[in-house]
Amino acid sequence: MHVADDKLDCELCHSGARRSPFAGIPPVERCIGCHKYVLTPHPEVAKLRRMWEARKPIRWTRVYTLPQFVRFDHASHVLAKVGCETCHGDVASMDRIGRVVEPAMGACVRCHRERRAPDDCLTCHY
Amino acid sequence: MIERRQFLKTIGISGSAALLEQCAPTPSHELIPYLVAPDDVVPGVAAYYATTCRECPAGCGALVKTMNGRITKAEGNPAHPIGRGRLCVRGQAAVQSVYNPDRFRTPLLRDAHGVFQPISWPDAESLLAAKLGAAMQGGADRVAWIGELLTGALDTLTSTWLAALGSRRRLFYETFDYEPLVEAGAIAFGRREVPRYELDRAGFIVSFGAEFLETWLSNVEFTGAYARARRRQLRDPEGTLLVVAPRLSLTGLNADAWIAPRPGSEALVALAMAHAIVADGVAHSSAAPYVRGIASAVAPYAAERVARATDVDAATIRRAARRFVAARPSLAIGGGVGGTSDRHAVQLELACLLLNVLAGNIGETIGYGAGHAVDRLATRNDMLETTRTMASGGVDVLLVHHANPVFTLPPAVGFADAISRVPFVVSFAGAPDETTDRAHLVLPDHHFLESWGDYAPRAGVASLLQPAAAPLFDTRATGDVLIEVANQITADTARAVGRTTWADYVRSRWAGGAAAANDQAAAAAGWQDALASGGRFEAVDAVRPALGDVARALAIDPDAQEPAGPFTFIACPSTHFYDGRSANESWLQEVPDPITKIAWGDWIEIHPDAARRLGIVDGDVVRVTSAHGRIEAAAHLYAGMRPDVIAMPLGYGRLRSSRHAGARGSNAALLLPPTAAGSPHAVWRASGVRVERTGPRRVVIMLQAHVASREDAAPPLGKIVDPGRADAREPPQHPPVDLFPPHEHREHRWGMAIDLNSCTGCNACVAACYAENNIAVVGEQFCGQGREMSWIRIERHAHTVPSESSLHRPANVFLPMLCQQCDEAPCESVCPVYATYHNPEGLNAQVYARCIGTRFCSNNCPYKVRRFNWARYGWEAPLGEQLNPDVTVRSAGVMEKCTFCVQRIQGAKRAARLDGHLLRDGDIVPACAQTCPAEAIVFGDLHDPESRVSRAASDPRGYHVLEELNTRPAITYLRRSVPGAPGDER
Amino acid sequence: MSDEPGAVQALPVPDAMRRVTRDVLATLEWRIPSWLAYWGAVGLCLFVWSIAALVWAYQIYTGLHITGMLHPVMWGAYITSFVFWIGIAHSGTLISAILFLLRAHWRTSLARAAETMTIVAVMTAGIFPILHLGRAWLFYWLVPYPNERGLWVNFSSPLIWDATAVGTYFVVSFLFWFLALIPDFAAVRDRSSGWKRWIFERLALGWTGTAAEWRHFRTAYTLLAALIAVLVVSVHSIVSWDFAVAVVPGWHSTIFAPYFVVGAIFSGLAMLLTLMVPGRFLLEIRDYVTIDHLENVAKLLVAMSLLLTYSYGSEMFFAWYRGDPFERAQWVFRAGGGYAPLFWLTLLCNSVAPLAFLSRRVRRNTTALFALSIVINVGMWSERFVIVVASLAHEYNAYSWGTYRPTVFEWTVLAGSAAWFLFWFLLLIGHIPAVPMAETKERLLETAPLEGVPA
Repeated sequence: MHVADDKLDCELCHSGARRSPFAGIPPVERCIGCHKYVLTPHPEVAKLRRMWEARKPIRWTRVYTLPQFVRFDHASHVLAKVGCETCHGDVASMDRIGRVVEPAMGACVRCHRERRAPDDCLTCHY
Repeated sequence: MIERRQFLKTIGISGSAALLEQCAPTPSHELIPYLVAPDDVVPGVAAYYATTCRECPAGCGALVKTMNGRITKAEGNPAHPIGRGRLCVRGQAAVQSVYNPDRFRTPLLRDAHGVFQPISWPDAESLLAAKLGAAMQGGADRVAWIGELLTGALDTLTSTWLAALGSRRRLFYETFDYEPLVEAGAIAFGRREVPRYELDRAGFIVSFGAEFLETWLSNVEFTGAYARARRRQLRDPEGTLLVVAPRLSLTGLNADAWIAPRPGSEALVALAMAHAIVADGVAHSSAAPYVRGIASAVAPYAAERVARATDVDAATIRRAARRFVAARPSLAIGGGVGGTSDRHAVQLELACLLLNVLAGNIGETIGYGAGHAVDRLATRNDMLETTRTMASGGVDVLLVHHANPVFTLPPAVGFADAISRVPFVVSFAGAPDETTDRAHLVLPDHHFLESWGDYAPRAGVASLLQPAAAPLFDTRATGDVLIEVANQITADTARAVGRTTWADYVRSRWAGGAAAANDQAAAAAGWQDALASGGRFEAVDAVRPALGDVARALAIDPDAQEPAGPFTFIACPSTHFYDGRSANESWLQEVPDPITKIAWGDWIEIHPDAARRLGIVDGDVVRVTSAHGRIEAAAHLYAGMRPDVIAMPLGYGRLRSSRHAGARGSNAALLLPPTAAGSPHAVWRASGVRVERTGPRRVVIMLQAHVASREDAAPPLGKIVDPGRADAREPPQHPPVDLFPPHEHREHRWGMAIDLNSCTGCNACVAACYAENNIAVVGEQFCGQGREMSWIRIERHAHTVPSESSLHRPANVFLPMLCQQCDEAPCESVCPVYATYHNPEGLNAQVYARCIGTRFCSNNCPYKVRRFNWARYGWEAPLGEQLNPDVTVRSAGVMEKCTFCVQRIQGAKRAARLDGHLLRDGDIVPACAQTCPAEAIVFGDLHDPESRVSRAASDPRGYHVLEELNTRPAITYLRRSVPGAPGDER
Repeated sequence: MSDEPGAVQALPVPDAMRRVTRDVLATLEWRIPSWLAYWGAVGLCLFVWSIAALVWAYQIYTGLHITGMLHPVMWGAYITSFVFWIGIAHSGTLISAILFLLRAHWRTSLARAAETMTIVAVMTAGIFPILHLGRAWLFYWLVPYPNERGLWVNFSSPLIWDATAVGTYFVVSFLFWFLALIPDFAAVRDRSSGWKRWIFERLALGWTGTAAEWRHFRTAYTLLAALIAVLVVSVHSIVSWDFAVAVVPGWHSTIFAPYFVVGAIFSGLAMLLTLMVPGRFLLEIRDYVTIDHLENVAKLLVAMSLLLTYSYGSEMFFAWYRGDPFERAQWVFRAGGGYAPLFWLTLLCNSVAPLAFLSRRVRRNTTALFALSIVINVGMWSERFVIVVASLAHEYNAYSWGTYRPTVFEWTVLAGSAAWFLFWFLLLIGHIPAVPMAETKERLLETAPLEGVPA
């Protein structure tokens, strides 16, 4: 929705991606920032506003999980010009966000070898 | 700032997605964002806050690392003059006291049945206001305050607050005071203050029992200075430190020479040294005006005369004296707690000052003018007086602020009974202790890492405290409580204190202190600057005071001997628990004592000869009886003391059922008198004690299976000491032969150099490693079964160096043992699944996810630095909040070990990548090297010939442990220079 | 029947052959009185090893802390027993292969029992390396198999050599054992009916006993024998390298390979006695496994014991001669430290006790044979225990010396492993011809008096 129609950039909301290991989930404040004016009648947006007024954070559902013995650093990948879609797929075309790449070691290793990224175990496991 | 704190409250949260993932075995399946993103926190990126460590009065600067709103690690603040970026073992463990599971979660009020019941803050505060109001009616000084040492904002607030309540009864109570030193300063120079010692400038240091590397005054500062002095003195055949004490503390074990006088006769030794200097006419020119006066003062103390009383022969004293003046500027330090606090304490301090005058050290290595916060401590006399007043019902409300006198004062003082006579006792303690046991109302303060505040250990060092995280529980800053209460009592009290918040109170005072108080911008800038650097620091010039008349004060009978009795008992401050305050921090229980290597329990040190005489062996439960009490504990044979002395660490025997400290061992203070005989000062000795075997034996958990000093054939781990004459690096014993082609390290080869000449064995690195690497605490039982998990340990190797008459050579070496990251690692070749392998940067990698637990790697490791997870280890809530999200929490059945803090290596590389520069030497600092107060550990890239580690590794003293095995370790040890030590240990 | 040999040989050949078949198949056709005792034993074993299985389950659930292992002794009774059982597995191949190639004909009647014991012993030993893993459920990572992670095993690790060697050994011994059984299975098939016949038809692989079949059978048998003879040496050498390639003082020694092979054969022969002395009564085959056979085993035992003593001697000599302080300290520790009793027990059981076999009377006394065989088993287990544990307990770094004592859990597992071993041995030996009939008959022909010649 945001990406497809409004052509918003991922990092507009997931601002951590450039500077942190975690892309991060936008604070409710940021959602409200736009939706104070945009699309106010929409039921979902109304729900959002109610939560904001109740000072309740939104509970998003997790799509990608990694086991705790793996480190994935968004920032480094963004820096290495690995586009978000490489793992998260073409979000624009998705009606409901789902997994595109199975986040298993096979996928990581393949990609790292293709791009001559380090394949030393300690790159991700420590 | 206030804003930030409320942001931190909502941080759950964001972090939780990330953090839960790190700690919980199963990842969370929800992502919960901030409501409002804090300005200075990026989820997953560490934020550091500069504050001050308040574990002891030293007041080292700290940088607290927070991840996603949780405090994960405390490190030293490099910008801070005290500690210079280093922390001691207690400072490192401070984070554990934030997440101490026993902390008070709410205010508590004792009900009719004497049981604590939660109470709301408003109720608690109005109740306190009422009680105080009533007390005020009772008259002056009906309210008493006993609390930790305060300076700055809280000092001002409490004094105005108490004044408003018509009370002058405020005692800053610290277990270990410096009264004799202050008094000696007053007598000799007319300055009631603790001088500033500059050990690093001294060519030779004589310590009369001061444990300046452990707990005395400012151990981190002194350890660094001492190490610098040692490094400068490397080739000196006489060494750097002479210790004069009946028992070797950790400081003593680090000495080059040891004189063991009869307990209580240290002052005589010092005076005899002064006498020798005067007699030989070698006093420094600067002392000329005083020499005659001193000569007459020390006339009765000729070395020969005191020989009998001190049990030290004249030649040794002369030798020490000559050395002392020759090595100018030198330094004589007196006092110390376990060392020499007894009825001659003041005379000893005076004698030391005389020595320093004679050698011309005043204004050089020892400076007056800066003073020290401890100058303001209550004397033992004040404590006794207040105790009597309390006992006689002279106090209506007693406020106890981060002090635990019920436990730390010797029971002979009778404080426990006195406090029970006080109708209303209020405690601001954060966690239960013996004193809160007797409190009626508990108003839990924030932990100091959650608090605003300031502390000035000495003039010129104004150190700031700021919260690194939101308060964990429903606690409230004592400052806020006082302000609120004052506003409730009467209009006057309200006016006196004013209506503000504690945070604003602190800030306004700092802003006011800024250069231009009226200039808002400058004030704000100054405040921001203080927040960033941790305080305001400026140099204070030392003064050279004139020596007054000391003769009168020096009246000691040169032939006097301690009252007869088989043994003199010495209660020593604990390197880990200080006076017992940090005994509930499990890291400090599990990391073994630096001297005895005993964990999770107490012991009584007995000299092997005495033990043989009494038929006592290691582990026998012995009973020690003094005029004031009786304790039982397991015996531990220790050769580092006189046979007529027995010793025991303080800090054990906490009565309160706090889960780690509670009911563990017994309290050494039980044996102590309220004051030294014939002196008003506190004393940590009891003479004429009896020792007997009770029959049963107790398992003492010694993590070092074998201390070399014991009789048992253990081949040495290579040439560990160095007579200080090595000029060139020796060639390896065997030319290396390889079956496999050598590893090539294209970019980096990480390596480390550890200077055994600097390492004091203080354990700071061990605690830092526990904090950084999520190392599990396995507890008493498993430690007893040899299953502790520490990745780095300090091995104590004692060498027997012949003693020259009464001059002994302790010749101890502390060897930090951690994974050597061998180039030809025996562990790598035997792992069937490549869970451990040699990584391209020379690290001996350990991939927990791949390990199946054959344990062959550990069997094949000559250094025995690999640890196996025998069970699933947990973290009692909320201790888990401290876990470092950058490090995997290992599961049961896998091997783990040191990897030079690979998470920091990767982090530094990443940081360099993100702001586009190349890695510089010093960008990567492993936790152990970061905190080492002696700066003994250097880490870096062995590929870069200019790196500090490369230069250190090529030192002539360098060697590898067990290098004959051709493991090619990445760690180079620099041999300790031990005067008079045999060159080769083989 | 009697303990006297030659009862069968005395008969005219055709009767003798019929007699052989009848006696040997007695067990399969339930014509022996002792079948109740037999099933009792099997049941008991089943019970014991099920308990041990439960302990293992608990160990996997709670972690290895239920064992006595610690830092630094990370290998204990489990690995000790692994080495022990692998050792047991050796006499089988020795008797069947090497003695066969050496034409030591007395081996014939013991061969079947010995080979069966071999297979079962390997089955038992094979459990321990998995049992002792920290994360046993990932044991398959020890096998090189292609995976998306692109991970492989480390072929420079002795543990991988070990897995390979033991695996090979098991397969080859099994083939060897089965091959020898084919003609006998055929014999059983011919005498049985119904479902039994159906089974043995398949086991016999359609053997009809034509000259060609016999010719091929011989060639195959000899070839396998030659192959397995090499394995006898290789397997335990490789097992010994688990220790020899390590840098641990007390392990790092070039003599380990031959030393372990000798020890293995020694313990294997002892175990054979332990099993067959009562076994020949239980299975009523005393005419075939006679006192002479047992005596020969005893003779071999003396020889092996002397070889072992020599190995001990040279090991100690080199510990002293090398002049490595750590190696010396290790031996001082073994002889005088906490494990000294086991060390001396080992010498007593393996070097001194077997010398009793120098006397003929002892060699021919079944009670003595049985008792001494037990003594040797104990001695060999404690030898391995001392090698594994004492070395680790007292390594280079004095900071981390430690003492290991097996816990009740470990003892249970060990008892379980013995039960598991007996369980399968009894089950197998009870349902196949316990003595190689075909070979025995051959011997009868070869040794029979020529017909028509007047006596």
